[in-house]
Amino acid sequence: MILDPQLVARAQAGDEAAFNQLVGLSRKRVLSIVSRLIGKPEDVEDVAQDVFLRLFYSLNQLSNAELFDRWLYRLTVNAAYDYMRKARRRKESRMADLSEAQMMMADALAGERQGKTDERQSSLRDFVHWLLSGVNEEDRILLLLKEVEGLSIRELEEIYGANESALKVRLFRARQRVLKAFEKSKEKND
Amino acid sequence: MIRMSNHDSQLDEVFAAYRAACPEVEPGRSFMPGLWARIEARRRAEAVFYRWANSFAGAAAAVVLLLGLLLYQQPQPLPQRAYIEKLTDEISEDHFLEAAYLAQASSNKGR
Repeated sequence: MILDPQLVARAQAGDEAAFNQLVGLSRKRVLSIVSRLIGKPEDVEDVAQDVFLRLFYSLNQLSNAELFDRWLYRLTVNAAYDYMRKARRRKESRMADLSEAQMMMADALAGERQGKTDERQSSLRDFVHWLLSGVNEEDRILLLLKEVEGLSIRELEEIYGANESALKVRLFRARQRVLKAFEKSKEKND
Repeated sequence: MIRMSNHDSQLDEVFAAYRAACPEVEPGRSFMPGLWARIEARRRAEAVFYRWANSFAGAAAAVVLLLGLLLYQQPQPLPQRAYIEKLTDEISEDHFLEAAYLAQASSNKGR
């Protein structure tokens, strides 16, 4: 999504109406990304507000209005990262129990059979977050951006400002850890 | 080339299902008012901090001025008195040694 650089420039100059317009144009997208990154619908709006709060106070640091999109993505990633860190502190390793993951997967399957879409989706989200719990928050977000958001390595390079090979190594390691957890849960379930 | 395992492709499916399982969250009516309330709350907190910092800086400057004034008005006796006495002693001692040396030198010359 490319926003009008003039609108961004006006918001940078302190025009609150322009800032409101920027939020209006990009909030749906931010909400969607946050929803997929944190997987907790009840907290999505709060994290998205945090993204725009950060935007309001950091907009003057943006050197080029054309980089707004990337800037907003970075702020979204940072806000999701902070949320995950706080959430981990709140329920340290609640998800570390494999039997709980089995239950989630079983719930997801049962929900699918019985057509209970909401339950199934909620269990699936919990299951994926359990799979990702063995990976640190930074790599978890990186993996979600690649596997769920479908961002290319080039796009990730732009957001993270890191080089391709470093990102590939991190992604490979993170995926291997998730894969191991997935295999374990499958073995127990079979 | 790395061959993808069965679990690998299943994991891809799980990620795809996860994407579909994350609902599109529509911004509620309170989104913008809530955002502005947070912006204003932070502005207020910053304003309080700056006011506090300014008054603290002012008070600190006043204390420094006051102390300076007090020190200026009540001159202390010179603390270097002991040093001056010692210096005087050393000078007179040097003088004595010098005189003794000169006396010895002139007597040697006389011989």
